[in-house]
Amino acid sequence: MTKPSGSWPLIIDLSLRDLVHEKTLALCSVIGLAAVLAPLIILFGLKHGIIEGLRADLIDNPRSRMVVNAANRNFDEAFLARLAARPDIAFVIPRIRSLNTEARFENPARPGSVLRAELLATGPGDPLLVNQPPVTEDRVIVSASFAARLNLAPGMVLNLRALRGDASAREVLSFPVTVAGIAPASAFGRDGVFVDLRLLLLVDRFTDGALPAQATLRDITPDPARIYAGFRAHTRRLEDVIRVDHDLRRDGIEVETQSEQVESLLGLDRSLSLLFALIAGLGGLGYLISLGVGLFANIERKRRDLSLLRLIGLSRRALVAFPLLQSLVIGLSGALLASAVAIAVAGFVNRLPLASATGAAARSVCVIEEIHILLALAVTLFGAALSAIFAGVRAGRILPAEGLRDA
Amino acid sequence: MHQPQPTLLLRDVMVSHAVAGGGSGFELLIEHLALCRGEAVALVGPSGSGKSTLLDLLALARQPTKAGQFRLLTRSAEEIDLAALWLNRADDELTATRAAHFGYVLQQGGLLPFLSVRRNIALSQAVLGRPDPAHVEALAERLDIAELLDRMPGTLSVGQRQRVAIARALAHRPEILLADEPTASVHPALADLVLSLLIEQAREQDTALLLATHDPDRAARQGFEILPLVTEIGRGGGRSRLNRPAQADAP
Repeated sequence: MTKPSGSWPLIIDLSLRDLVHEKTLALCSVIGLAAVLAPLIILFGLKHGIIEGLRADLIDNPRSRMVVNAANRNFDEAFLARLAARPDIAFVIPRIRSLNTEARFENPARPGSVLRAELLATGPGDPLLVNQPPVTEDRVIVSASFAARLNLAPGMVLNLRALRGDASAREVLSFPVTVAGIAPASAFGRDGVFVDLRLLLLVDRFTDGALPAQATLRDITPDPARIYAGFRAHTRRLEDVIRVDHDLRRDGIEVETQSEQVESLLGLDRSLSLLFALIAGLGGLGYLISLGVGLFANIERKRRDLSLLRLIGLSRRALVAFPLLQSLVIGLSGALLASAVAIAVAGFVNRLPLASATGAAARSVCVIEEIHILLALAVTLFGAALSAIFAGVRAGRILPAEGLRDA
Repeated sequence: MHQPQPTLLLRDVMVSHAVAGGGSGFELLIEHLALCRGEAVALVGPSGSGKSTLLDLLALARQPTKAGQFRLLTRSAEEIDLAALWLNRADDELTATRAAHFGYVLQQGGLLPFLSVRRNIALSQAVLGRPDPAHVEALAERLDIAELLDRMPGTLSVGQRQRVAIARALAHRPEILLADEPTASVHPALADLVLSLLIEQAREQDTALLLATHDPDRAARQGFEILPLVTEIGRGGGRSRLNRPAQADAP
């Protein structure tokens, strides 16, 4: 006995011809799907772009990971070594008493123009000076505002001058330094110069009166018993700031951090992620339901044609496949159209003035990656198949006798 | 004289409509029905007499409640025990039998709107995987619809659609041709033509033809043998009986 026809070429041919015959309706379904899916893809892109941008801004700004003690205190080398050894600390550099950090700089090319700047110690791996040339004993990095004020450029030579005593008995320590680079504005907001720790110690000890005006760096020898007035530390990750801040305060060390801002930004990140997940989840559910309902209605409308096919001898499986194939074609077309629309809208959104507002760098607000498109395609095809199976089971139950009766 | 074996044979087949709540139901009892190739029988009876039920049963679209004997004998002498297929709920085999051996002409043609006339006619061949374009052309020629082959059904008149439906019903050379009120929605003048084409083509293709109609006079005029369905109203509801042995056995 011959088997009932379930031959794929015939079913594919019939379902596609039906789709083409009703191309206006099929197009409406495709546009309807795209209209629901495109905003979801854009939403995904926005979530991705904004959250990642926000996060990257915080991480990019080294000052958000900075931990600085508040008042001048006494910290020994052992304490600094312990701090540096913490796994959540990326960088530690000592600070000296703030009274002694002021120096005067003179541009030899323009004698008489002297400006004051704050001296800051730095060392290899300083997160404030990423991508800057190394600081050595006579090569320094100047802050952006200081460079602008003195009209400095890399390679220029300056005279560093530290003063002590009153007007009657003034002594000057003079030290020529070369500008190695200019720090980004985010590194230090005021007039400042990043110098080698030994140079800073030389200035410190001269100002305190421990060294004569003729002293050189040779007078700064290693001393394990040396005491510092403070430190500047940077945590590895943004989240670490909160813990380091808490731990130091528990040990009675007053610190200045952006712990609160970090905490609220991390909270915002979590809330936004949840909000986006909810919107995308609800939107996605609505999308799947609209997809399923549309396909189901389609089956009901074609009930008579389907029962005729059944009467003529198409198998139950063929009848299930008929709407499934149409659903997949409509779903795929809708998802592709939605992707095209979403990518176009994302391009437009990223050209809006608000795009530059989120970050120092011109970062895109809406970032749609291939994975989002693939995800949309996968969800759509899955949803289309799922709803088509429901619709198909209904189609499969259509009795051949229905084809005999005229509606 | 050679006694033809009936193509379709039913003995003691019953279909009953149970009515929920034990109200009056309906029962169709076929004591004996034999149908041979080349015969043209018109089933007549008022609405509710069971014409549709009988047609559904013969179209293998309704399960008999009880079937003593229900079988199909094909030209190639293959015997198909339809009663057993129903008993085993062999849906695939029933579908295959329907596809291979039955043709249907419906009230309004029952053409698929998304296929051209040619593809509609060839559909019954395509389902069987036995394309025969020459036969499609020949049928179209005989039914005077050769110029319409590449049109879509939506552009045809009701009469033209019925001719296409007749061509499709015969395209795969079925054993049995079932026609359900094929003239109900055509102009009376056209109705005679549709019936005459139906009977002429069924004879030409050596197919048994069973027609359900409200119009016994017209069917008789075109050469159909009239088979009335008589309904008795009893205690349990209505009951229609049918008894038509093969013509050779008739007293």
